[in-house]
Amino acid sequence: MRRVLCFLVSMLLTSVASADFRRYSFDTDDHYLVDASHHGPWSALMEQHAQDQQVLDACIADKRQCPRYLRGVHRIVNGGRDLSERQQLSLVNQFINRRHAIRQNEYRPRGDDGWKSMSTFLKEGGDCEDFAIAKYFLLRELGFESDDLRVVVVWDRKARAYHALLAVNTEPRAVLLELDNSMRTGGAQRDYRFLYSINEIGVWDHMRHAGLERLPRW
Amino acid sequence: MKKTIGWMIAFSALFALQANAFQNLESEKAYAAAIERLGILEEINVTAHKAAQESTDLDPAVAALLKEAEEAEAE
Repeated sequence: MRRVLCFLVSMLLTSVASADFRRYSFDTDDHYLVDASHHGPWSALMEQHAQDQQVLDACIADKRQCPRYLRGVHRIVNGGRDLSERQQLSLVNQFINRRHAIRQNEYRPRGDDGWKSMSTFLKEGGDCEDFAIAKYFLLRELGFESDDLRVVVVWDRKARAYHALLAVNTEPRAVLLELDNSMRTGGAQRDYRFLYSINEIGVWDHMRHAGLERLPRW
Repeated sequence: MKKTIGWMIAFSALFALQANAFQNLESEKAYAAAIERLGILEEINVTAHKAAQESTDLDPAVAALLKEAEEAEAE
């Protein structure tokens, strides 16, 4: 009886302790793989975003310059600047999530559909990676540094599918912005196996495959 | 008492080793399947999971901005 009790207590203690290493962390310099320009879909996305930027800047500065699909963005960016960091995350998460019905919730590692810029996403909708990218660029407009944002590709153990979402480096720990409007922290992130992350700076290989070509295909 | 502590250390080490082994598995699918077999760990963490998942209740300032954004798009 005592041994069974020990077993259960030990299991509980270990599972609580082990939850810690399964949360996403930005403090992973040793996972850094390459410059983001080596990631094909991300490079194409950045080119598209650069093309969209002029229209986006004009719209944020003056509502009358906004095409229909960016009118909401004008209000979110100008009204959201005065909010707390937490409120800004909630605002962007919910604004992007309510934009469009999700065509395909699952990240497609074959990358047959490309990655969409925020403007393209707002016009057409997109997949989970497009939601994450739209949140990334909207938070950048609100003043978040690229250092503190990463699009993370994960293996969702419960759904048994690849998934992509946005990780934000906040104090005291990273937050994952979900498609259901929740913001996952700590132990709530343990459903995910983190595969790799990307932002304007680089690619981080959390599986330690030690090579861009060995990451799950995009 | 010493025996009890000994067993606790042994079991903790066992589970820590298991957790470490999972980290080293090459295939994420194999990892997923292996973790799922330890269903009991999932059960134990349900409470922690629920507590950590933040409430999606709307902050009034956030709700007001979302409404304004929606109205701007509908104009």
